Amino acid sequence: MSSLLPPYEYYLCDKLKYQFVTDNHETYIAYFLDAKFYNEAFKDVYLFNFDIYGNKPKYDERISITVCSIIRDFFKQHQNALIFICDSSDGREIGRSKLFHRWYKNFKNLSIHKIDRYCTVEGYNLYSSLLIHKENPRYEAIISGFGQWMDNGGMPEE
Amino acid sequence: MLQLRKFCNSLLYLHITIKSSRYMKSAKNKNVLVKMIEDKKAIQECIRKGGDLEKIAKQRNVKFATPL
Repeated sequence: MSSLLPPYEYYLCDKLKYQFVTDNHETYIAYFLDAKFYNEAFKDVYLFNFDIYGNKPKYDERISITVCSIIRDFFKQHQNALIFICDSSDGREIGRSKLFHRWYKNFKNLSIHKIDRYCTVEGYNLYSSLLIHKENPRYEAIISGFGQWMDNGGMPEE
Repeated sequence: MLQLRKFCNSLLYLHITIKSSRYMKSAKNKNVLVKMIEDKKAIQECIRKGGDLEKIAKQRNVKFATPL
């Protein structure tokens, strides 16, 4: 990833999502879901994903740079943590997971720790990652909760 | 002897009730990850078709956040 290329400018849209437009006139959406709706223990934890309006995107290095920029801004609040899920619904979960890992390595921010988990639930293969700032005040609790949550196939500890 | 039998039956009933309750709780919790995957798919379809995300959020009982 070339560090010389700037990220695209992203902006809040409809108070729900973030959006940026590429030089190829493609519109990307990045969004966060409150993970508390899936697990009550996940305060200040968010599911992150991004997608494109329409189909057939063209390769553009600035897209990954922009996504990293969004995540960098996200972690300006150290209490935030982020979960990224790659599921097998389109058969591309491994490639997507590897891509995300490559982006994380290029991120080169040693303050952000990445914890990976894999599980199978009801026929879906899930590669999931938790990104958390080392100074997160709930660092141990979130990592522990995430690990247990994934190891139990999404079931919270009883 | 009859009282002992009644006592055993009440214990058995209690055991079945607790086991049933735990099963229901597990069955409910087991679907959380699946729901998350299905939420993602629904949101993806909505985005690709230029649909209404607010409507999807209400339908799926999810909350979009803007933490930046």
